[in-house]
Amino acid sequence: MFELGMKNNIRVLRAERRWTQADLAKELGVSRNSVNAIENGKYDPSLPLAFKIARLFEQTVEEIFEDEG
Amino acid sequence: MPTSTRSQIVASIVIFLGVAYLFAFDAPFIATVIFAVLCVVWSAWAFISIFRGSDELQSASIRYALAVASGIGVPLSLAFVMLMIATPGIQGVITSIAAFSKSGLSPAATGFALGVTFSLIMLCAVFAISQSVWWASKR
Repeated sequence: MFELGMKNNIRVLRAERRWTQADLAKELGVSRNSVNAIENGKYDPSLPLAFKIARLFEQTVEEIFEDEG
Repeated sequence: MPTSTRSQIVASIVIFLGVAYLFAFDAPFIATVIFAVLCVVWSAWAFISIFRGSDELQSASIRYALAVASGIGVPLSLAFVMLMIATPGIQGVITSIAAFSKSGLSPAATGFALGVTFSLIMLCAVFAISQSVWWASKR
């Protein structure tokens, strides 16, 4: 529950497009709380959501999420 | 804390107050039936919303709270009720509550109803606290 999630560069990608967290949440169909938790590495998204994020930013999942294992 | 959590807490309080009203006063049978139906509808909606909610973070928080409530809340509730039963003088208290109540329940039925009610309060409290802690950890 309290472990840190995977690192990701969603915040950077979002900033490049000048989107707010609310904009991104709307695009993904999730709440702004979800976007915030994912950006801060507090929550790892499900595979479907990770792929949705990757498609939205036109990148691969591996380019967005960094495996620390 | 998301809206769903707040609505669950409000629903729990409303259900508790409804049960208390039905217990304390001689409510008509139809009122009891309507209240029971509303409780079932609410439970069904809450259950469906866990799996059909569009936000997976929210669903995850509810699943976590359900797991904690069932894993920790149930033993806690049982321990609480066992302690209540073992408390000296509790039978006198239950008898006075039964005498105060206008529902006509016997002291045994009153004791059973109180035990179930306190168990549910404990489960709801554990659910709400665990979900709040989960959300706080995700900020």
